Amino acid sequence: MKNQFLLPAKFRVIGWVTFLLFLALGILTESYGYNIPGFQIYYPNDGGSADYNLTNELAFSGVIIGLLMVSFARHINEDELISKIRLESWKWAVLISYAILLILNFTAYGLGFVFIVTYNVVTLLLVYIIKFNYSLYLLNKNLKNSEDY
Amino acid sequence: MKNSIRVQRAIKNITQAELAQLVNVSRQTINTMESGKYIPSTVLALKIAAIFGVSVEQVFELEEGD
Repeated sequence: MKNQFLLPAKFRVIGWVTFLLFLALGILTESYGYNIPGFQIYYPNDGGSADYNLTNELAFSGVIIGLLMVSFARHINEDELISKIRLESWKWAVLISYAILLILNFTAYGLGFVFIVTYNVVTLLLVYIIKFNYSLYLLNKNLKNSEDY
Repeated sequence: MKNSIRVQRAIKNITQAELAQLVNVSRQTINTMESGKYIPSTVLALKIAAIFGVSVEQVFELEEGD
């Protein structure tokens, strides 16, 4: 298979590790207010309460990049069937992600809407990863049930 | 689309895994094709026919509704 826009297979593990590490950082900074000391470029002198620390930006980027690596890592048995499963999984992911967005459009307002839409960015990748792996699981289950003679 | 991969394999006496290796796909792909759940690309269909030493039409044929 040529012309595949995929990363080497080891990025699946690297991606999960990256995702989990930055998810932990994200939870620390969002729930416990942890900020990496001095991790900011701009120091305002207006005394305002705006957040200029880059910890949350770093955590969010890490979560997205980690999930992207998992999504685009080559499968060990990458072939045309896997490509088809990939495509179908992306289709599901796009549909579900936009369905959530449409529902939110009518159910959440103001800052709450912005807040949830921000987190909804990762549902596209998460749904893709879940659907892709579930399809592979079904495929392997069918394979185990059929004998090779 | 119907296929006679299973029959052709029996004639050649090779397993799914062996055929998979010969055409550079996973055993899952051969298994899914044999059960009629996956239609292979033209390239793969031609490769499989070449392994069996027959024409593509002898392995794959259209069925009603295609």
